Amino acid sequence: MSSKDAVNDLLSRTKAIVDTIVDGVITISDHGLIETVNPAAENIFVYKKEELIGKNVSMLMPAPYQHEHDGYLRNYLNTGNKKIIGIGREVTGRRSDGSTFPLELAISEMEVNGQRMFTGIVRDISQRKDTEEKLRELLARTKAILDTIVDGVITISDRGLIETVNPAAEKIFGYRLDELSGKNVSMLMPNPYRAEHDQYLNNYLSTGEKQIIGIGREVTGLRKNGSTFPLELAISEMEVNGQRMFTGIVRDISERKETEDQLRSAMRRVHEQQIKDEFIATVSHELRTPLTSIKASLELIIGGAIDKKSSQADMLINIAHKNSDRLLLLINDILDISKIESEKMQFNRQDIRVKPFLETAIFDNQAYAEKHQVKFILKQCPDSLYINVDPDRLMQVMSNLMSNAAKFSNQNSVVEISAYKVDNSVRIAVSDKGRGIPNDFQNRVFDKFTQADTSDKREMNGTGLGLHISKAIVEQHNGALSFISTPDKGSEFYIDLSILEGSHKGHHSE
Amino acid sequence: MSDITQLERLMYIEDEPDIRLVAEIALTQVAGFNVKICKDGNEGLEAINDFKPQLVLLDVMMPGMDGPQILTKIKALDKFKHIPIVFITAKAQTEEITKLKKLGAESVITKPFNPMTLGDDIRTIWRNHYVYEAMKYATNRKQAGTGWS
Repeated sequence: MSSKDAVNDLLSRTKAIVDTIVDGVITISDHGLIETVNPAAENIFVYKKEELIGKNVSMLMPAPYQHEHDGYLRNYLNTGNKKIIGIGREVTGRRSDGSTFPLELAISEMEVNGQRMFTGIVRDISQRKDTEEKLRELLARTKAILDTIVDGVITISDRGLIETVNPAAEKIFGYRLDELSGKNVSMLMPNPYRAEHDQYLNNYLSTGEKQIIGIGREVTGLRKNGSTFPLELAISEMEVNGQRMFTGIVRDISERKETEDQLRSAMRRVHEQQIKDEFIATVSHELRTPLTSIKASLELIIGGAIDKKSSQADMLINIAHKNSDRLLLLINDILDISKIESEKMQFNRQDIRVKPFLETAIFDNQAYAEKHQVKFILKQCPDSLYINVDPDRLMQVMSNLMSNAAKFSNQNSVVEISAYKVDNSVRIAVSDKGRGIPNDFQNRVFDKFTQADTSDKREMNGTGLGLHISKAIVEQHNGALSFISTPDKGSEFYIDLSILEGSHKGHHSE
Repeated sequence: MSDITQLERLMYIEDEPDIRLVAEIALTQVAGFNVKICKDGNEGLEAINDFKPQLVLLDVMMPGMDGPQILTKIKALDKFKHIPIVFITAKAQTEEITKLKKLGAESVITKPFNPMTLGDDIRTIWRNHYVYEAMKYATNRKQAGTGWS
């Protein structure tokens, strides 16, 4: 290739570049007249090349720059004082339709054939400006939000050091930003969380196991004044310039907690009152039932509805008498319940040997056995078992269990009473081969005023309070009353009580 | 022929045997009713078609079917849905009585009741029911128009 060809080639390459680049390229003479423009410059200013060539470049500027430009140029040429030469200046451009737009301008100076010329490279930065403006606005908004929200927002580095804190966080913890900045965030937590925090963070960073990331955890915060308070914490993870960071959003929930506590205790009081009301209503119902039979029987006799000497009168007197007993039982049981619930039941505990105690129980409750035609037998009881109990109260429990067993046994069957050692306890069991407890009733056996529904009420006459009282008495002895029951096969109720240390022969005299 | 405005046959469903006995004396010997006494809802519902009570007395708390359940079953029977049902209950608190009346009971008698006046009390309830039904019937006829006015 000749040198001429080489120059032509270079020229055509240069032209191709200038014609295709997105930046506008304008050359002007030292008088400020446009000499060349590339297609990008035509597009940017919306002029055709012919409309620009030979015109003063100031036509591409809005007032007041338009008038100032020639002055600048002259000044530069005379003094060398560069007011316009250089790169990256942001100025305002003017399109053919008169609209203006921000542009970035780089001006360089050159000499062609001894003549000084200037090249301007212009870039329309409307879009960038617009984006910058939006970003600025967004930042301002974000700051306003962070400055005004009631939740505290704290960002920390992956080493747990506090980087930013919003005013709410300052207020919540009682610190100023400068007291927190750069400090380990664990200063805002009381022990033991403080000690655990770094460990959590290290663990998370090394294993990815999220023990702390997430929302809505309730934790305890520590204020500058040393007081602690409940707070709700949400932690999220983010990456800023390739560096892992954490944002914690904290909300002081002291007030909410207090309100919740108040609400809970109010609900508890309402519930307790409801239970009390229901109990009173049930007691009233249970007392009125035998009273109805007593009162009506007597009124029929007194009112002269029947002959006082008739067998019907005898029957009515019997009804009144029987129901008086029932009323008395009820009143005693209700008094027991009231004592248990107000924790006023007195226990006169003493060491007793189990065997004679059970023998007495069988003797004392013989009437139940006869009434229901069953037999109580002491099946098993080592001589050397001792327990520490209130014998009268435990006898009350035995009477309850034995009378229940008799009531629900088949006629001519045996009710077995036994006592034996189970680990460190003495178990006293009352076992019948009766009808058992219906499965759907088993979980209510110890409730107040409950009796299994049955069509056969021949010998029900209980108050529905016995087992509730028995369980309470056994529990007052730090023992347990439990049962196993199979419908139609029978039930076994058993009392577990602590064995008395040194349960052996001759431990105590009777 | 008996006067349909007179209360004669009533049924009483009660699970307490002693109360059944005293109530039977009160309602038959003292008050002179023809009474069918039943120990539970099943027995009552079985007997209702044959006995055809004009009024039913119901205890409230009973094992198995309770008073309100029996009331619902009787109200579902075409032949007996209009007969007055009266609860006799030891649930004597005002709110309990209000609740029972809302279930559709004609009235509620609380225990203990007076056996010497029980019959009179029931007759009063019956009369009020009868008068109310008659007035309701007359009002309906008037509203429907007889064609003569």
